[in-house]
Amino acid sequence: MIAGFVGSFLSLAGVTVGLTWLYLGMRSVMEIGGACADGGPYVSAQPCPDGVPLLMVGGIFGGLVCLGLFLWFSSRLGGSYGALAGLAWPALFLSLGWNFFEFGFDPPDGADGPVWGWVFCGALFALMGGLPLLYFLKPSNLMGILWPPDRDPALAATPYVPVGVPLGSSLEPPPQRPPARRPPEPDVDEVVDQLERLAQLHERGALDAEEFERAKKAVLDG
Amino acid sequence: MGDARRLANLVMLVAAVAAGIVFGVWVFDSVTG
Repeated sequence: MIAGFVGSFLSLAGVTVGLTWLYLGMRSVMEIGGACADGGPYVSAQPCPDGVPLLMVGGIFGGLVCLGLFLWFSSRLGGSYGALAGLAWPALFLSLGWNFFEFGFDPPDGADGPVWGWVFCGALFALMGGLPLLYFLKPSNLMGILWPPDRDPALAATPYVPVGVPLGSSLEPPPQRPPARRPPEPDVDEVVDQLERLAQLHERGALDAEEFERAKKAVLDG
Repeated sequence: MGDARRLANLVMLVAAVAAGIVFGVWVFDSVTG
């Protein structure tokens, strides 16, 4: 449980660090016009601010790794704290959408009027981040995650009944019946031998017709 | 799960978010100067 507690703290902090780096990195790039480049065979007219590419790439992949770790560690806390990982999506798109709006309506290079391309992106990001947020804004949903309810005592006292077993029926397996014994199949050759012997006895007069018929019937009936 | 544990988890989650923001800003400012 301690590992789940500490792991959840560190991994959630890692997710937040990643989101923070993306938010700040995007702002620093938008302050210089919205695009930059480093490395490669050409000299870029607009180099990136120091360390920003590394922090943004690290924020993306580090944040994803920490998100997975948070899902893992939070499963040890009980409740459904892992659902909070779903808030990373609105946090990402709403924070970046805020940047688009801020710099779109107030461009840093003193351009007149809004930059409609950025405003459009801001609206798109607000939509993408805001719609999933509606689930978390419902108080019962959010409180169910942040303050997990106790199990209903009435439900806890109910014995576990496997699905598909009618209530009241015994969970014990039915008693095994011994397999029905089938009469042994008569050997055809043996029946033929017996009939031949009976016929010989009948021919020799040892058996009269009535006795022969009775004996033959007994042999044929097994 | 008792109320004390719920409260501890809630405080931990809020502290993790706050710590992540503070640490993230500090690292960003340190790296970018």
